[in-house]
Amino acid sequence: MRQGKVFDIELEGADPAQAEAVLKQAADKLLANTVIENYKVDVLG
Amino acid sequence: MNAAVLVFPGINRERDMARTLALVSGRAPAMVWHAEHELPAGTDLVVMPGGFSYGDYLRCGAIAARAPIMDAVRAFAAKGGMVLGVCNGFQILCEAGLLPGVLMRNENLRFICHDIFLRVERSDTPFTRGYNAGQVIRVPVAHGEGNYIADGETIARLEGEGRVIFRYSSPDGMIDPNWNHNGAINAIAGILNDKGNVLGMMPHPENHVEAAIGPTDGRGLFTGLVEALDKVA
Repeated sequence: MRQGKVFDIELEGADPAQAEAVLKQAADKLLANTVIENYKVDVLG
Repeated sequence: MNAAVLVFPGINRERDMARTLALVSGRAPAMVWHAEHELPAGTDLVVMPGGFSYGDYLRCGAIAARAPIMDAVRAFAAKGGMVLGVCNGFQILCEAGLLPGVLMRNENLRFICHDIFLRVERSDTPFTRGYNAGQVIRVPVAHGEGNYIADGETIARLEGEGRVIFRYSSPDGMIDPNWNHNGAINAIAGILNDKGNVLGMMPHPENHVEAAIGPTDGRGLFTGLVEALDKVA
């Protein structure tokens, strides 16, 4: 079994669509290693 | 040989590497800080040493792979420049996309620090010309995340193209789960990129180069590199 990680990220002045795009880019580029990890972005508030 | 050793915060094997490069090539390498944007002019070998860059936060090698100097390393590798990554350096190369796959937690979930045996699969690369194909060398490992894995297609391609350069083996060169200490798929300890100019490996050849300290089996990698690079120059 392997555990996952949750990142709480606050973005200023971004609309939800823009926030999701930025966070997906961050996940692909750094936060997740897609060779072994999956990720999901939830935009809150 | 004009080597450049990359220095990231948290790296701790850069001096061992620099000492070995100086000993074998007769020339001290440049030590290049992670925040630099360019490699020194005339660099013909980039070495990424072992350690715990950025404290292994997020994932081993993940943050170092995005350091400013890495754009210069990517450009250098794209032009055919030789790059060697050892231990954390191998993890950084995988995270940077310069090598395929990933190094997962060791199968037994423990940090492993002792000598192991490696079978050298090929002698016709610039990194292994100092050895014979099939030769077994004794070198140390020191890692918690050395369990190499990639998707099936990638593994098939690595094997089919002869890009698995080192495997964990018994002292007489047999591939056996009992000697594959970290559980890596196909006992893979070191791989080449598709162009053959980037090598990543978990064990530390730089620590077995002086008879006063013990075995000298790691020396062949560095003497081979010096021969290969000086021939080009």
